[in-house]
Amino acid sequence: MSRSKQYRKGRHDRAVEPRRPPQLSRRAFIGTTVAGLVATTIAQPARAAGSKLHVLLAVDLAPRILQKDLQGVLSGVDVIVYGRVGDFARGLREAPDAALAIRESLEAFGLRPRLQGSTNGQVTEEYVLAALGAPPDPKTVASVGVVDLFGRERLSQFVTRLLGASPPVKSVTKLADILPLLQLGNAASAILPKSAYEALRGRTSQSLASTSLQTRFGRAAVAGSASDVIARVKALPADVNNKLGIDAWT
Amino acid sequence: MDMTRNQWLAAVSLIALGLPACAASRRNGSNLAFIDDPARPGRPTVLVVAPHTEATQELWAAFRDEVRDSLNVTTMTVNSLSQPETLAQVMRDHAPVAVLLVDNLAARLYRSYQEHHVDSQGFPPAVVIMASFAEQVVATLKNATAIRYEVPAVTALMSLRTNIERPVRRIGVIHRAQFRCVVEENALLVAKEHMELVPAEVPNAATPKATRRALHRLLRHSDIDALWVMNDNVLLQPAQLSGAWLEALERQPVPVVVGVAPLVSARRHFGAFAIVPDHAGLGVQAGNLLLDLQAEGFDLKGRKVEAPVSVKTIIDLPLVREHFGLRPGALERIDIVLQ
Repeated sequence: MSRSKQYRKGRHDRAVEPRRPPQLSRRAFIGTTVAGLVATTIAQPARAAGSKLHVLLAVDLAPRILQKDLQGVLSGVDVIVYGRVGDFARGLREAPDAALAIRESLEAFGLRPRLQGSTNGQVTEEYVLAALGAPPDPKTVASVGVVDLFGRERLSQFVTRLLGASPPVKSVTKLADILPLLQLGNAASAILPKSAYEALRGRTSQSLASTSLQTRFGRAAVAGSASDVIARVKALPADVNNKLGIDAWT
Repeated sequence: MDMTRNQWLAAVSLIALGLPACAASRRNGSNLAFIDDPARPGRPTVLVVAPHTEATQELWAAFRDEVRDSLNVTTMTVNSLSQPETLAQVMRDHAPVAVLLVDNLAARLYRSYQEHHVDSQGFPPAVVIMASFAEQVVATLKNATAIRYEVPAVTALMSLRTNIERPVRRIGVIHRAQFRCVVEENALLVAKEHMELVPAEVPNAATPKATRRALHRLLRHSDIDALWVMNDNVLLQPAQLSGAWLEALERQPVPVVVGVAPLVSARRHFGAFAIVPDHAGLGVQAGNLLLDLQAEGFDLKGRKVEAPVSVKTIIDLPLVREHFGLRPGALERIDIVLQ
């Protein structure tokens, strides 16, 4: 059979492509369902002429939820929660009045934290190396998955600093991707905060094991020049702070 | 205004048959272009061949961000009229170390290019992405691998189990005979999560009647907790939807997980959840793959087709709330909530 014959399958052999949600708004069906609902469920950044707060965090929430919560208590501040470090980096070129991320992420972009979040007085957090099966050895893992909060080059440095080794790095955009990464065999192990690891363990029936890493990394922090925004972040309510993974600001 | 059953079927069928929605988007988008960074000397070039749509733009941006520190990215925007000679010229001009083929359209064009250049001294490794039936596409290309577009059952069903209160242990799946291997492969991964795929096979030329019987067998006699619907256009034709799926599910609602967004609607209940690929995540995954290849000297030897890692979740909230119950906090992790 020729190549073209092999490839030109009949209609009955084609799969349905999982169509792209944005295109669906053009269809009558989606026009009356998805498009309108997306507008109400995906938080859009307010375009007021107020101060701007840009956010990048690896939390177990859809970015739209964190954005909605922050926007809800920071009225007049234009809050944008990014789902991907590349977009966050581009957003920083707009010179926002403040940026909220973990300390090391802010520093990676040349920003100096002015406000530091903490939990039980701890401004840093324990990280673990997780794998399915036995606890992984940081020095010998074949590959490692990690949520990218730094940009690819600095991410590799982050991994090396944590593991004391430089295995191939599989970056992902959100914590929810870590479990599929391990289940599907795309990475042999994954680096994540210990708190996120505990949540992950509750979701899988497989044996998920971890090795504690010696290096701790910062919790959420805020950099920026706008004292009013900094002051308002410092006064965030407890439930919003909780979603940022902290219980106090100093 | 409520949507009639016929309106729903008509709209869904356009998507299910994979025809005008995407094609129109491609035509409309064909004048747009991806904007590459200036090439930096001394860095190898990867060629991206892609139609311009919102989805491919999202994927491309994530891919470019992922590899830009190590590779130059040159992009060729294609549409249904693109010719292999044009691609050949781009290949000559840029001598890419690897090619990223986005969508079946780009893969077809590249196959045609390879067929016209059989004397070429080897082809650089190609990675197919956002294409249906990636394995079959790869089999028609020389020196190629892929990231599948279909979300694995284990990912979809884990999302279901995490979000609804009702237990999810046995999951029915109706499949045509030709997809038996796909189901078996998925069943192995699902079993590791202490869930069981319960298959009901129908003939390759399944009629709505055959599908209806299989559904009844699953719903009435197989003690299933949920249904996983494969992205098979034959089983999702309008006649199948109206003559088999909707009828059976109206009588006996079970949580249905689909892989196509339009099959979830708060106005016409069918899928309770759609678990679809996250295009930015796919771009990052493709970037990881290309960087791995770079570290391995752009050698594809022994590399298997990958499954997509990153997904987005869409929920029909009224349906889930009424019949299956939603776990506390579930809505905070769901990307699109239809209500």
